[in-house]
Amino acid sequence: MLAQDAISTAGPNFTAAVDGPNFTAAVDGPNFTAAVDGPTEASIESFLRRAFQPAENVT
Amino acid sequence: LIRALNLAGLGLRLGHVTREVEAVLARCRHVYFLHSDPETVRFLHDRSPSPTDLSSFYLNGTSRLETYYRIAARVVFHASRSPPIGVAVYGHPTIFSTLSSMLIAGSRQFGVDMAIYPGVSSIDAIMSDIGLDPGKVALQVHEATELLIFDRPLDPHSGLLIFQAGQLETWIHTTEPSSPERLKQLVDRLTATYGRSHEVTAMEVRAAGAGWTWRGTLADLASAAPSFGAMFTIYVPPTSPPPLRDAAVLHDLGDVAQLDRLVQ
Repeated sequence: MLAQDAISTAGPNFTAAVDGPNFTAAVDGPNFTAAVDGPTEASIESFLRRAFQPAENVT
Repeated sequence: LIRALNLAGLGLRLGHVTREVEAVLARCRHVYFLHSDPETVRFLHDRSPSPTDLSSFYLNGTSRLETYYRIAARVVFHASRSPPIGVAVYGHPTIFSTLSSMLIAGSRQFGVDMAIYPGVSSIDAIMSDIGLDPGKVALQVHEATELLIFDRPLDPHSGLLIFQAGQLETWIHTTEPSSPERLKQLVDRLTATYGRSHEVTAMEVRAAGAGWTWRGTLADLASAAPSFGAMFTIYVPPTSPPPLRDAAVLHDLGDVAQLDRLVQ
């Protein structure tokens, strides 16, 4: 089977495998991309800022 | 087994570094550290290539919380990409360390496998410096600013350790000593339970060499504070032994028949 035939018959999942992670992200949403690539330093800091908002004390 | 992120306590000085912590750090691809003792820092440099000194993240006039966000994000990210990573900190890693709490939470959230290795803490050093046995006097341990924010009852029949009295009422990092006014609220809080004439101890536990110890009444504590520097701990001893709750329990402690009832 030619690649072009496969794309036309296998639907978006196969197309995603051909077109790479950016297209997959558009189909499956950012969570899928995150699971593949792991967290970024910015996403970890963002989580920490939400989880450790200024509270009673800092040690 | 070595984990992706290894949080280790170095104790207060080189002699406190455990063989376990030394072995774990030797297996890490990169080590971050936070320690002021030159001997301990040299020890880390001798055993790992180009370790990162986290004190470079601290800036006078900057919130400690902001500093910890940046450090914890950097370390968890690094551990997720290039494990194993070591973080070696002063004292014990989970005693009075918001940074450690962030590392634990960040690792859990992002699936970074983590282990914690204990170290000798300031609490350990204070207990040996002043001969304090919590089995005898019981022990309350509080962070100074928290005592001003929350109305946690203080027990005058138990010992009381107050940490971070030199950083009272601010999150902003500084190494400057306190003004006499700074401790006034804390002294008022303690006086309400212990009385102005109650004798307390203020002390600094240093990484290397002897720290200092000051003894005086609560009435004199605030005015003495400017000579204490930024890092000191206060110990407030009990005013008197606790009231007896159940004399029968005390009476039966040496009774063999009592022992027979307690075991199978």
